[in-house]
Amino acid sequence: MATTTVSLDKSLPRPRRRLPTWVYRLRRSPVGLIGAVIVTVVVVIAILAPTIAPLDPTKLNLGKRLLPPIWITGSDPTFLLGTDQLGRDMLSRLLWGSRISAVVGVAAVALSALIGVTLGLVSGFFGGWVDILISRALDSFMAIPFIVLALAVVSVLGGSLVNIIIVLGFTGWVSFARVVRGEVLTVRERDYVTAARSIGQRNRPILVRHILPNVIGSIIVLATLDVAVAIIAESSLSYLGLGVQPPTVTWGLMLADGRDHLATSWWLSTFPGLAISITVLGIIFLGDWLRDVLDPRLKK
Amino acid sequence: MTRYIARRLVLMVPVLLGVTLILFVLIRLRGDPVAAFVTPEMSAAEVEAVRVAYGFDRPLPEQYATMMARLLQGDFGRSIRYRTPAIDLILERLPATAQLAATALALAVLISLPLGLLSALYPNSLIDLVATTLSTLGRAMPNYWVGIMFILLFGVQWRWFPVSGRDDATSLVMPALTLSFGIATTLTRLLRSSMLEVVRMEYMVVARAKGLREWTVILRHGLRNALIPVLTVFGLQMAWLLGGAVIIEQVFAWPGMGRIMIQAVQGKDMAVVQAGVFIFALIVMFSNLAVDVLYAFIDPRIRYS
Repeated sequence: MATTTVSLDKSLPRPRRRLPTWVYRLRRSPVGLIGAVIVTVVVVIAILAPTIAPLDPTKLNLGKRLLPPIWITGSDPTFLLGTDQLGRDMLSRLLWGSRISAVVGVAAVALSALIGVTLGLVSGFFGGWVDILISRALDSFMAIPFIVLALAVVSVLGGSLVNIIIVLGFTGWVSFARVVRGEVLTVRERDYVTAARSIGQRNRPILVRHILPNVIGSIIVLATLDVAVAIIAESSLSYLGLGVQPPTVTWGLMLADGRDHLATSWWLSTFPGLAISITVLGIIFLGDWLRDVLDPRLKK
Repeated sequence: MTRYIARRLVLMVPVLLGVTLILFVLIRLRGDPVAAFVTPEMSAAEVEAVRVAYGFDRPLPEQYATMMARLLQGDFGRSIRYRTPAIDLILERLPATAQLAATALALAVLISLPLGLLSALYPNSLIDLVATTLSTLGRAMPNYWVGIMFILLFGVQWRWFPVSGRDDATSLVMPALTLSFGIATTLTRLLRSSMLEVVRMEYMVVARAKGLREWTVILRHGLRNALIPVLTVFGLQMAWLLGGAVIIEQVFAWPGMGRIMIQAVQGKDMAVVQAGVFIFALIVMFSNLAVDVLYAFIDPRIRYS
């Protein structure tokens, strides 16, 4: 075999370090980029809320009730987006509200994913009566509208931050279990699973090392989009007065406060809804982009 | 077809059993189930009496069997607030919810069929831009907030429609429009993408080649095929539609099942909550069945046996 020598020309500039592939992909997709920017901004706001909020979000100021946002006559420059019916600063409350949405969204989906992925893996991989049992449970949960089930659980547990996470976690697992079970059914028939089994690997390592990595793409996509669902569900429950309780600041509770002042103070009901919609929009954009990148098959 | 429906009805039994099991576990999640049926003023003896009266002193499997036996007779217990059978309270309000959901559904079809169809036929046109913008907004905006914004615009600002209650036909407009918004945007999105695939199919070329009029090609050959995947997803969305109705009813003070359920949740009126969950599950299951039967009418290739 002939040997070749390669001489390095030291005068050439060193190659630029490549950024991870997803950065390039994100740069090519304006929608994905917008989503990523929105989500990043919301997360940063949620983390920094105590520092960047101009005022105390729970401080009452009865002399400054229902002040309009700054661009409307009769406003007070201290309160950029106006005040609510108890004179609390809208902007500060909006910034603080992002924390509950972020915490509930992430925690509830993590819980749903943990339950749903486990049950889906077990159901799809082992089959038999375990599968029948889990599938019937899935059908039963799917027959009850998500919000109705959440209401029923809240009626027993009562509303609080932790309970809402539990409620949404235990009602949201269905979508994960369904998708994971379906994927496992095809993956478990692949040759590499048979190969792993033929060299004597046990069930658990096969599940964790060979099957899970092949369904993780859909799990990530589903989890992202489910954060949006959880945020809307939390705000709905809070709006109904059945979710997180005051004095905690949430966008849903802010919307509930605005209900009695619709005729006079539109900003109470407009800004929190905008905050929810923009956040959810960012998550959906990011989720759609992730789906295109990770799992084109999921595309509807 | 009759046999298919019969088999589907039999398959509902295990699912309904599952729903009752969920309810059974739910009541016991917080420890003592008696807590849901007594008020703080009751004495210990009275609480014991309630416990015995509801059978909570019996072993769990026996309690479940008793509950099932009662449910089969439509007995969900009495509302602690209204002192009437819980199932009656729910069923009394079923027509209001059905009216709202059906109107919203009809509106959604009326809006999304032309919008989805035209946006797929003229991609990147103005109508396509409107359709895609609306369907993106529909995914991002919580439907109860859409309702609030409608109240702000059509109720407060322009005073076109009443914003609460259920008096005459005009009071139906706003809640139905709000509820239809979410469904219409979903349907538009699905129909658009499904139609975009269908227009590339060879049978469309054949239909044109044999000289059919353009609209016959689009409606008979295009739309009918494009509707099949839309219907599949739509069947799965029935639960979502009813869940949406629950919150919309609260926003517009619409006296339906959702509103009384929320009231029951606030008042810890467990019998009503249980009856509500059960009836909602029944409606979802029967509408899923209806959607599956609809398939056969849209797609003659599908034959049930």
